[in-house]
Parts: sequence; structure tokens; C-alpha cells
Amino acid sequence: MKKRIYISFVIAILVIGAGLGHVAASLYSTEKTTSYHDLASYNSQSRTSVLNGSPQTPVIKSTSTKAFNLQKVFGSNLAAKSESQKLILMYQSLSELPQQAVSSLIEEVDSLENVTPEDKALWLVMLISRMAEISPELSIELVNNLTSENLKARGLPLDKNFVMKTIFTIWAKHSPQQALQHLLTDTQYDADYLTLIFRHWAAKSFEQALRAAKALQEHTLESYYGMVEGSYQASHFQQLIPFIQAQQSDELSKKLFRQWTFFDALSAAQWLADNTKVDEAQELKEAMFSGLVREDFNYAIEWYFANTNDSFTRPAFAGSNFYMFIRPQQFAQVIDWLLLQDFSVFGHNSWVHKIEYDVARNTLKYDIDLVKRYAAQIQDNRRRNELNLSIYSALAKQDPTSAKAFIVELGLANNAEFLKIIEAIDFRLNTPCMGFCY
Amino acid sequence: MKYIVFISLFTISFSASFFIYLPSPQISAEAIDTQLDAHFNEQPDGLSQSASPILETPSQASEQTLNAAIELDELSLQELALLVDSPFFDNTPWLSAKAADALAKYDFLQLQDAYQRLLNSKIKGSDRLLNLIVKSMAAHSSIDTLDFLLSRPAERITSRHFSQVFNDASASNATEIAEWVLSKNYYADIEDNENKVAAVFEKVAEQSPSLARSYLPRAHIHLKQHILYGLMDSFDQYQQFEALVVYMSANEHKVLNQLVINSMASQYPAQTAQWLASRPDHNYAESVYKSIFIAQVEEDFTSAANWYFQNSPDSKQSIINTVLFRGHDGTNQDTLLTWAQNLPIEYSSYAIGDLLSWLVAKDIDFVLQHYNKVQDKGQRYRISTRAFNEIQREAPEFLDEFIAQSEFSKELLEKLAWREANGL
Repeated sequence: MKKRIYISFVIAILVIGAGLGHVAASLYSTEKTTSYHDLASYNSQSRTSVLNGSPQTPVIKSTSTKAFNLQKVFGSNLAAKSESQKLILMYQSLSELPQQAVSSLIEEVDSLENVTPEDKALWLVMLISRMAEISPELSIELVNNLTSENLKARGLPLDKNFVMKTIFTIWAKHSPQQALQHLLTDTQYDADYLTLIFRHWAAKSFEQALRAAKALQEHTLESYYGMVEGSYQASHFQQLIPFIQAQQSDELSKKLFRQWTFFDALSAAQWLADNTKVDEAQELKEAMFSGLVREDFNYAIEWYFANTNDSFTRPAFAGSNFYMFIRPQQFAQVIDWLLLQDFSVFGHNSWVHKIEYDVARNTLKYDIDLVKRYAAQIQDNRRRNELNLSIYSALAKQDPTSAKAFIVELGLANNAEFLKIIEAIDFRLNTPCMGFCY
Repeated sequence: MKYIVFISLFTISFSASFFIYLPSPQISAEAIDTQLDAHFNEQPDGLSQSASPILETPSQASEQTLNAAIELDELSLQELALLVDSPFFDNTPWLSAKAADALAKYDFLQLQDAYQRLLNSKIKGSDRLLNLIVKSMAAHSSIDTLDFLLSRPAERITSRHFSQVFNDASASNATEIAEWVLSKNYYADIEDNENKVAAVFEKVAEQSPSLARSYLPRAHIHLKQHILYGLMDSFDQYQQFEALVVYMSANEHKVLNQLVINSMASQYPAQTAQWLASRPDHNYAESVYKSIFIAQVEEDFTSAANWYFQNSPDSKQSIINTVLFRGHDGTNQDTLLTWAQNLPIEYSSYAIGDLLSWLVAKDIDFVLQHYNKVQDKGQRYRISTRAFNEIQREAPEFLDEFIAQSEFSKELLEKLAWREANGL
């Protein structure tokens, strides 16, 4: 009986020892990895983030500066790399370092040997950026200690304001609310920082940012500038309009519509059509026209003349470079539209002529036959001949024989005047040009 | 004794359990240093800057695609674009590096696909992300990236990316990129990008003039000038020019030969003048003589002008125009006048008139002092009207006096009346 008790006691000791050993091992391991868990991550979504996926390239995870030979990384290896390679290597070296290691490395930057001042400055920015991920407040404190004189004395070509904005950008993308709180309790920053925070906040979480902007008592203009800059959906812009109008800033209103047009020209155009009279907002409509042309050429023309009092033959946008916004994918559609136009009602070099000139000649790069068919339907001799010469030139660049056949096809093989110009084109194509050859 | 046994058993079971459950040991500092060495010296695949086209087979490519850790889908693109999104003038290198590091996981085809999708989207921050994607593509293969960008319709953004990739690739591997340019169809691929690609030949010439010269026979006629500019920039001896001229005159278009001779004249005017003198039976273009004059005019106006006047095949009147146009600004006006007066009598008066025309804005007193030396009435009228304009603009209080004393007072009064009537 005594023996049985003795054996049970031994087993109990073994089990307790093993259990405690397991617990101790877990605690030890947790302590070591806590710093990784603390690291800021931009992605809080449940899916695996592209930024957190396991990389193909080896990333060195170090927990102390001892494991990170700074000089080795800073040294000549980086000098030969391109700027983007350099940045990636720097990022990979620093992205998982804990706060203490980053602090130590920041102090070591000055002592690096064989590193250019530009690279030292870049390392410093990268280290401070890493610190901004871990502790924005601490990184701000570090930058506050940098003075222009100090940077100059250290030979670092670095702008303090640039570094500070870098920190706030990182912070605003991650925790805009905290960044705003910090900004509002510290008077050292100018109002641009407010724009910066709201820009990133609006892009990340529009509704939340708008609530914060509405709650602000001062510098509302700057915050709405940020809201506009950060917005990218029609619903964002629509929601912003009453607040922007309350700011009574034409510049901000224009910015909103520019931004809206960039992201969704059709909805912006529709809003203006629904909410302004024909003789209102002429400047905005004119400015929006190019963006709309890029989206849908036919709609842009129809919309513009339906929503302004401009004459069809001399619209206000005629002097702009609107035709350069027409994309190659739209050329066929525009050529169809050109075929329907009565050129006789337009003056020489009108906006319609500009479209014809630009689109027809650019189409030659993609579809010579389309331009040939178009040219064949032009009644005006001068315009048709000019375009045929461009077609000849495009064909001659590909195959001189087919270019000559084209002249025969046109029935101009014996036209002395035409042939003289053809000769000049051939000469230009076969003679070296000085400067750039256009 | 019993207690010692119990304590020993406890220690053994505790230690065994602790070390069994403890995660693998931390890497030693030395081991990390070794890994760092490997990391930075061996260049992992995702970072290698190779200009060679991708040679992988379709099956290899699809295997890579399948093996990629995470698909570069729309959400990933949005996430990355939002990460790097910033105002135009603001740049946050850390965030760019973070995104670039994430992109380095993907193969060329995945990146190419992402580029195409992103180009047609209006994702916030897409501009900056597209830049990074293009750089990542170029890290796999600059040549494939350039080919891909060329295959797309020419839009501003792709054109900008083409320049970016081309410049980066030229800086790191000019020879391979120059070969790529030479291999393309000039009119189909290069003509619209000529201003972007020309500089690569200068880079090759800097590294190897003989290699750059070897491009000449197979380069398109419109590209040869860029090769020549690069080549000539690399020259530091007159003999190199002379050798090139010999080659050009036998093998290349005369326009290009002229380009080389003109450059030779600009850089080595004295030697080129001797070279011309030794070839009296050759008719070289006037521009060579002009280049020699221009290269020497600042050093010694009279000598340069006399040489030019005596040797240039151009008309004497045209030579005088060139000499005084080039010389009137940096040369003392008495020297200029002396040169004009010393010309053969049939040209001297014309040269004085031309000189005074140039000097009206510079020294009107000097002009009026020598006005009577001009024999041609047409030239005198031109000088008078220029002086009229100058005085009206700079010293209107003397205008009446000037008009009254001028031999063209009637014409000048009419001019003045017209201007006043038109509020000028």
C-alpha cells in the first residue's frame, strides 16, 4: 500500500513538472513574440492581406540590434542597387524590427561608413517611418529633436517637414482618429496637416471622416480640402457638396468637381445637369468637358451643348486641348461622329477640324484602312487631299509599294502637284533628320 | 534522500517538458549576419534586375501563378493602391517600399495582368501603384516590360511608364537596351518614342565608342544621328573625329557626314581649318566654315572673321551678315568697325551699314557718328527707322530733334503720325 502511494506520488510529481514545464515554455515563447504582435498592420480584414502574405524572398526577423549588422546592410551592397531595389531591401531589413532596435539604429545612422549622405538620410527616414508604425508619438518626438541646423551639421540632406509629413501619412492611414487627436492638442503643426489627415481618413473610412470633419470647430476649410482629396466615389462627392458649399470657396468647389470628374465623370456630369440651370456653372462644365470626352465622346458633346448656352460652331472649350483626351479606343466612334458633321458650318480650324486632324492622324497608327474609308467620304478636296497625304506617309513607313499603289488607287498617279508633295514626303522619310524627327 | 529523488524527478520532467514545447531556438547573431549576407549578395528572384526576356515556359509560368502566396486580385490592388495613395507632391518612401515588397512576390504575368486591370480602373492611388507595378515588372525583365508597354495603345500614362522603365534600364544596362531599340521596327515602335530612347546611345558610347560605332550600319536612318551624337560626345581627340569622317564619307548619308564634320569644326576649329585646306578639291558645306568661325570668334574676332571671309564658299554679303550677327555682341565696336572698313572696297560700305544696324540698340551715338560712312540708301533708311524706334522708346524727348535732322524726316514723320493715330 505504502509502495502504491509512493509510485502515485512520483507520477504526480512527473505530471506536475511536465505541466509546469509546458506552461513555462509557452510563457517564454509568448514573451519573445509579443513584439511582433504589437507591430502595426494596415489590414484588419479577415482575409489574408496582400501585405501580410508569406513572401518568396527571405525576410530576416531579428529581435535585437545585435542580430542586425547595420554597417553590413548600409554598406556598399546598396550603392549599386536601383532606387526601388534599395527601398525594398531597406524595408525588408526594418519592417519587423521592434521599437528598441529601431531606436538604437536611428542613433547609429551618423556613424555609418562608406554611405552617401543621401542614403543616410533615406535610412533615417525609413527608420523613423518604421518607428511611426510602432509608436507615432515617439517618432514625432524624434523628429522634433531634429533641427535644420542639426541636420545640416550632420550633412543629411533632409527636410524636417517632409519627415514629419511622412509620419503623419503613416499614422493617418492606420489610425486617423488618433492622429487627429494629437494634431488638435499640439499647436506646432500648420493646417496642411489637417488636410493630410482627412485625405487619408476619407479614403479609408469616408463616413467616419465626415463625422469628424463636421465636428471640427475651426480649420474646417482645410479639413474639407482633405475630404475632397480623399474621396473617390460619386456618393462621397454628393454627400460633401452641402458642406463644401457652406465653405464658400470657389477653389474648393472646383477641386471637388475636378476630383469627381476624374473618378466618375458621368455621375458628376449628371449631377450638374440635374442641379444647375443651363446658364449656370459654365466654368465647371467647360472644365469637366475634357474628362467627360475621355469617358464617352458622344455623351460629352451631347451633354455639353444641352447644359450650356454655347453655340455648336463656337463653344467655349474650342480653344482648349480637349481633343487630346480622346483615347485610342474611342477613335472609331469619333470617326463615325465626324462623318455625320457638316463641316461647311464651321469656320477654318474649328474645334471639329481639330478633332478630325488629331483623331484621323492618330488612328493611322492603329487602323489605316479605317482612315482610308473615312477620307474617301470627305467631299472637301483640300481636307481629303491633306488626309490622303498623311495616309500615304503612314503607308510608306510600312511598305513603299503599297503607298505607291494607294496613289494609283486614288487616281492621282499623274497629278503633278500631288506627286511633288509625295516626293517631299519620300525625301523626308529617307533622309536623316537633325534633332528629333517628327 | 526521498526528497532529493522527488526534486530530481520534478526537475527532469519540468526541463524535458519545457524544452519539448519551446519553439525552435532563436537564430544567433552570427547566423543572422550570415543570412543577411546571403540576402543582400545573392539578390533574391523578386529583386533581380535582369534585362533579359523571361524565358520560362507557359507551364512554368502557370506553376508560378499557382504557387503565388496570394492572388493579386481587386481587393489586393485596392489595398495596395490605398496604401501608396498620396498627394502628387508627397512621397512616403516607407509605404512605397512596403507596397513594392508586396509586389515582389508576384511573377511577371500576374503583374502585367494587374497593370492592365488597374489602368482601366479608377481606384484611389492607382497612379502611384501603377508606377510600382511597372517597376516590379521591370525587375523581372525590362525588355519584356518595354515590349508590353509598346503593345498598349499610346496613352499618356503608358508613355510615362515607358520612359521610366527605359531610363532605369538604360542606366543599368545600356548595351542591352540599345540592342533592343535597334531590333525594333523604327516607324512602328520607335518613332513616337524617339525623344525617350535617343539618350541610350550616348550611354553606350560613353562606355564603348567602338560598340556604339558598330551600331551605325544597322540603325535606322533616323536613329543614326543619336548614335553619332553619343559617339562624338565621347571623343577627346581630333584624330577620332577625322577617322569617323573617313568612315562616314564612305559609308553613310552625306547629311550625317556633314553633321560629323560640323561637330569636328566646332571642337577642333584650327585642325579642321587645316584639314579643309588640305582638300581644296572637295566642296564642303558652308556650315563647316561657319562652325570654325563661331568656335574661334570669341578668342580673336578679327582673325576668325578674316579667315571666314576669305575661305567660306558663301556669298560675301551673307558672310558679313554672319560675322556681324555673331560678333556684334561680344566684340568691341571699334574692332568691328575697323574690320568692316578694312574689307575690300566693294564690301566695306555694306559691312559698315550692317554693323550700324546691329549697334542701334547698343550705342546710338556711335551709330550716328558713323552714319555717313554708309553709302547704300536702303541701309541708311533701315538704320534711321531703327534709330527712330529706339529713340521713341528710350528717349522720346529727343525724337523731334532726330526727325528734323534725318534725311528721311518726311517718312519718319508719316510713321510717327500713323503711330499716334493708332495710339501706339
